[in-house]
Amino acid sequence: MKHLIYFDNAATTFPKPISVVRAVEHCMEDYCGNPGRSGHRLSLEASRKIYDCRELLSDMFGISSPTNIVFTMNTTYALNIAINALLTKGSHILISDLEHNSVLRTVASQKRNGSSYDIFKVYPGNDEATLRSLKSKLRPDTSLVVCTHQSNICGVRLPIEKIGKICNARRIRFIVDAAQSAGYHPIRLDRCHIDAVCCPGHKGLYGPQGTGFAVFSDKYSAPEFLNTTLPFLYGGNGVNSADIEMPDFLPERFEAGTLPTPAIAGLCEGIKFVNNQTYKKIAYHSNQLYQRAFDMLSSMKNVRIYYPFLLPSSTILFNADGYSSDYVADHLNKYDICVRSGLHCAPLAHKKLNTLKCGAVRVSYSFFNTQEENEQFYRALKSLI
Amino acid sequence: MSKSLIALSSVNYAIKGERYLKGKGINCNIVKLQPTETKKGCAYGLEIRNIDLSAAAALLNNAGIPYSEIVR
Repeated sequence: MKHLIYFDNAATTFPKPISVVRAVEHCMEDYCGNPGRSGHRLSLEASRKIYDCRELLSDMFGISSPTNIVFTMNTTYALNIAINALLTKGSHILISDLEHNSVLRTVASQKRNGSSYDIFKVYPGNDEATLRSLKSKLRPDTSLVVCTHQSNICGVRLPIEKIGKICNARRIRFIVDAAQSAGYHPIRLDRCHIDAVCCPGHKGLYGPQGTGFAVFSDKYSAPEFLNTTLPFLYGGNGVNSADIEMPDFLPERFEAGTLPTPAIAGLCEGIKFVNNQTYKKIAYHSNQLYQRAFDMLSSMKNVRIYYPFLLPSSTILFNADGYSSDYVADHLNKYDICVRSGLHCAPLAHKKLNTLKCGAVRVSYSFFNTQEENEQFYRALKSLI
Repeated sequence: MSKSLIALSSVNYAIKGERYLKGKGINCNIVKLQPTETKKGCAYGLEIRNIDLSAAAALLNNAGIPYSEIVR
């Protein structure tokens, strides 16, 4: 079979480490009971595996309570839960101009509750200017700042530690969308004054699709906070079943219905894979790939790289003059090279780049990509332009 | 010493409690409680052996693991 080159890892990583695949299989074959519902061996084993994952994630994100990990299907669900939980109804929200629709649409929907939002400008490569823009948009009634850690279309990373400091000083809650950074860069909630971080399990953490989670900071363990929040989903979770209200503690306040134990078992192994490889090694690998792709694309006169002055990351965005992004992606697909074209669900970011009409081509790497694949990509692209 | 039973809010707290107490050398295991054994129905408990119940409850309390009630 012809070797497929997968450069769409910002959408979901592929392939997964074999340990992830084996863990899913092992769960499906040996202990896939319904977690948190029964007292028999399979139910308890499934519950323990899920708790193992909560422990791994609480260590990774610097919180002390594993029960503050709320499992979801993906980052979007996690963002919906966190925004609905942490927003003071009727108040003002700030987001950046690089947000994915998972943030933009969720925040915009709060209009029905009397809330409003503004957008602060990100100055790629100039954190101080970004922070000035953020401060200039703050209002006395701003209760929440939501922003991405790293753009899903290009490598721009926001200074979340400094943003968190500003929010903390003003008692504004701070939510980080770590869809592109979880597993690539360390994120510590305590250090960055983050109230909640929302992540996928199936991207940089190498878990199966169907896994995502919100990490709430330790201060949200208190019932005083949870009593004031509305659950996002309602239903059974094996807790207080005789009560018509959802439980007033984490994670069950926000988890309803059966969790995907096999997928979470796989996620456990994905997290261990990242921990074993280390952030440093993962970043070095993707930076090397980025640098080589950057050099190759820069050598092509009719190729435009977006934000060429950025530091290397796992994602590189470009367009070729005279070709739509979809056309370029289709051409690469004929060579079994998978990239993502179009708007990447991030119209705000494309508007900023002036690519709202044409979109752009995104190449995104994982730990499994190689320089040889980069060379094949270059040759395939060169055959078109 | 006879077995004692503490009800915890959920299976997550039961696992958290079990791991904590076992780490302290206390023999315990998770059991599913009967709906009639708790005020709100459907809960998990920790069956604890060879330790005074109030001492185990105090340990859980100090570790920030909320237990809903002492069943027996």
